[in-house]
Amino acid sequence: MRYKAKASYKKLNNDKNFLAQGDYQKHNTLMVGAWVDIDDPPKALLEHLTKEQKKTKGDNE
Amino acid sequence: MAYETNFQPSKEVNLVFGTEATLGTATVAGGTWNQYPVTDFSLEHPSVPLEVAATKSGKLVRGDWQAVHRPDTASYSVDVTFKGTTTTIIMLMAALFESTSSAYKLQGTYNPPNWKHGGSFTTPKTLLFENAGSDNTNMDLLLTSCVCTSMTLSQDGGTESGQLVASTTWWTGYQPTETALTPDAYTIDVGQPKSIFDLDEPTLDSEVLQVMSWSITAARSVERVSYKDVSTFVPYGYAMSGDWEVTGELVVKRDDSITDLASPMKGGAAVSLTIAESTAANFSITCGTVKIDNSKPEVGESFLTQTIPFQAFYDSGTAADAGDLFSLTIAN
Repeated sequence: MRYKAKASYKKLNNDKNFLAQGDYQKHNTLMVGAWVDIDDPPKALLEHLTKEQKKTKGDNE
Repeated sequence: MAYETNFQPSKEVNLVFGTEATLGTATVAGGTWNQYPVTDFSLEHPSVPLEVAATKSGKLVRGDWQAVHRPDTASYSVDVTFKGTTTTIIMLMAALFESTSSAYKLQGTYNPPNWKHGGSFTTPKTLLFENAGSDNTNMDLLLTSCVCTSMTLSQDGGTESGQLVASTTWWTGYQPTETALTPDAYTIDVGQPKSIFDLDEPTLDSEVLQVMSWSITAARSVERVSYKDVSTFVPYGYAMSGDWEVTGELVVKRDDSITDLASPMKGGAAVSLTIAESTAANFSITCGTVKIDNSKPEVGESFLTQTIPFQAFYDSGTAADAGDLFSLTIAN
């Protein structure tokens, strides 16, 4: 699934965000506001991430 | 005086990797150690380069005053070849791209850690070569805070039983030490390497290719930052001194698919490469934006093959420059 950072993610200390796991790639990409593929997001971070909604048939762009 | 009697059987050298917490501090015996399926390696030694200053005018020979050892510029690197098991590849993704959770990626947003001596970093590794020390008692060789600077992933139906191979280079700005260090325990990776024969129709520009072999190399250069003092000459830290270069090569059966790739071979738009097993979650590599670099036919086998060299880039059209150069998913 793809996730985007909420504003609250950008305010987290480095011992709470993806840097705490050594994952500079995901952190850097979230910080610039882009979508990130995260297969198994840490539970503690879920409230700070927005999950991409799957488009259903008939949805407009 | 007499010859020393100790010697070092090369097959008795055992390489184990320690998880670090602090740049410049090696993993301790009670730390976290892993043994990965290593098939080949090179070694380093506590040694520094010699620099010779200019010779005085009128002299045609060099005096010893000109020659100075330069521990302040010394860096060390070793090559290590692994079998491509899931656990090993996940470790390498962290050490190489600082990407520690799936999907493992190198993206246009990449920025290296601010590797500062004494700072908290978990992706550099301690490399402990057990039984590689030259001393009778300090029998082990320890490399501290090694960063992975290059990795080639490859599979070839004609060699290594088609198994995935990871050829890597590890670099450190800290002088190796010969020591006696025995980890209290280490975890052995007993996984099976991924096989080329499990691939499911690799595609380039959505064109299915019969791949005989493939390789992808991601490489960067890292350098030490000066020195903190003139006793240990440890660096202030590390800095990347060049950009990532992601290149690769496919060797495929030469057939109608080659004709269908005419456009990207002759200057068309960048295309996507996917190498995956039928269950992509188990093994999948995608380079979303590659350009083909002078593809040629080969006449070595009973049938013709085509070599397709390529280079991967990030898609500059992706929002926030977040396009993937390289994306890997691996499990089981």
